[in-house]
Amino acid sequence: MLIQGFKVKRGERVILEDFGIEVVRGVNLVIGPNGSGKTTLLRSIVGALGNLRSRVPESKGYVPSEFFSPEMKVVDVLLSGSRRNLEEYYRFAELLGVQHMLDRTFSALSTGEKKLVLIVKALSEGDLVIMDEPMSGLDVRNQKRVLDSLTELKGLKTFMISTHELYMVSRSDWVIVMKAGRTIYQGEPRNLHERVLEETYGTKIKRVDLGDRWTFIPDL
Amino acid sequence: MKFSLVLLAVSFLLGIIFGEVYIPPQYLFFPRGVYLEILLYIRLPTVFASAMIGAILAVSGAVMQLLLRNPLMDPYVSGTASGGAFGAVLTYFLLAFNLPFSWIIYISPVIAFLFALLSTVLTLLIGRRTGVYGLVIGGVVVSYIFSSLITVMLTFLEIRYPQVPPLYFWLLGDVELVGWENDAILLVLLILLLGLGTYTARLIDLASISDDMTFSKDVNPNNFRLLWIGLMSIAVGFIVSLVGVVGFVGIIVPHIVRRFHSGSATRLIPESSVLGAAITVLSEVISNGALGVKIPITAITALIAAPIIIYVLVRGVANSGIQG
Repeated sequence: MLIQGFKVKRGERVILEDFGIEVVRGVNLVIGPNGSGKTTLLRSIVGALGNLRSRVPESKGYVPSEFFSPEMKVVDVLLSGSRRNLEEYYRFAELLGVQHMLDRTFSALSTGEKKLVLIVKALSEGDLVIMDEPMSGLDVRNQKRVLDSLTELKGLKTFMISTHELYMVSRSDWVIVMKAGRTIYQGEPRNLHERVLEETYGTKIKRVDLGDRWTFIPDL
Repeated sequence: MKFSLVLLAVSFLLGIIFGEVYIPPQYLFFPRGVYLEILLYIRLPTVFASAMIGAILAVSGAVMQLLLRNPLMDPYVSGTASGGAFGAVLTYFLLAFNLPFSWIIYISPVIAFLFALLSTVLTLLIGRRTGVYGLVIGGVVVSYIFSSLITVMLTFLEIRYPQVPPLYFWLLGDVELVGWENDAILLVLLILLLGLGTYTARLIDLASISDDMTFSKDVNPNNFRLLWIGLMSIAVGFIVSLVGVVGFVGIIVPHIVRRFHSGSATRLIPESSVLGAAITVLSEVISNGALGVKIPITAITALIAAPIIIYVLVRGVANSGIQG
């Protein structure tokens, strides 16, 4: 589907230009430097900024990069804003290893554990799952768990994920590269040349092939 | 919940027995003569009013603490109550225009509501961006402004119009001589708040975690907050024009409930309403003469609330803020 929206300004600065992005079923990755407008783009799609040309009709799940941690149980966080039963969250709770935390107080969890809970919530609730830097704060094992869930759900849901982890490019179905509020590349992941990333991030980047997967390594 | 209900029943009983006139327990079930009059027209409506006022204030505090992500919020700290009191006192200036006193009783809740709303919005504008303490400081500032204005106005009023309730009534509360008609209005307000609270409990929880997540459910969290603030301003405005400012119930009760049960609105709201009713009736019993002398009710609720506020600050609950 095509999602179109209008520019977002803060005072005189334009943080996101008018946009039209292609969104495919599966994993749509949004990458770009800090301040390129990734979060603003995601927030636009979720409906927080009122700048979409037309409403996105799908049920949405959203994992924010910043959130408040109230003193309530994990089950209540999962069920917040929802009319579902707890059983509907069990599948992903088990997949991501949070099923034993359900009765604990949310504010007492570690940063990574809180993120996992919110990811479980988004996966269980939305057909369109929007995640803002979900991997930040997660250890390697939990990153793998999240990736496995994405693989399992590719045919069923649509994902929009912003990330700094360039290894995700080869695991995605569509890539959007942003810089200074503009989308400067939209296309198949395998067509993304390392030169585009070099121009985007302003640093030398090398593509490394590992059989059927590949990643990008910065020349630090 | 069971404990709160028992407490409520006990405090009800105490509230009916103790007051300016001590009603011996044997007259409770077979009242005669003067005791019947006192019981039916003064004591019962006053105790019911205290219970409902306590429930309304406790629920308002619980919802505010969640929606504004601030464990120190309640309708008193946010300046809502002081603004409402100012509005109510302002109405008495209409006496200067020779309007009948009875008219003023009807107009004052409306003006109280308007100023309760204004003062809350003012506090929000001042404190929104400065973290947990910003709202509290904003509320303190706004409360002081309106309390001072009340003091000034009363200085002018009380000489010419001695029927206007005095300063301590407005600033510290006095639950007395509340009629059944006002009880009916309080009941409607309580049902509205509890009803909306139960219906939107999960949404309140979500709004306390993330605004963007709330948008993802096609709900505008800021409009949601305004809806609640509007409703609470109506209720608090009415309460203040009736009994003056009854403070701190909204802070004390949700914290006790949170400690023993859950911080989710689904438990916090119903539990706070019962415990709030119980504590307010108990405070009113002490306030109205059980210790031999009449003490303004907010003085008592403040003394109970103080250790709890200190506990919150020391434990650093106020610092469990933005998580990245």
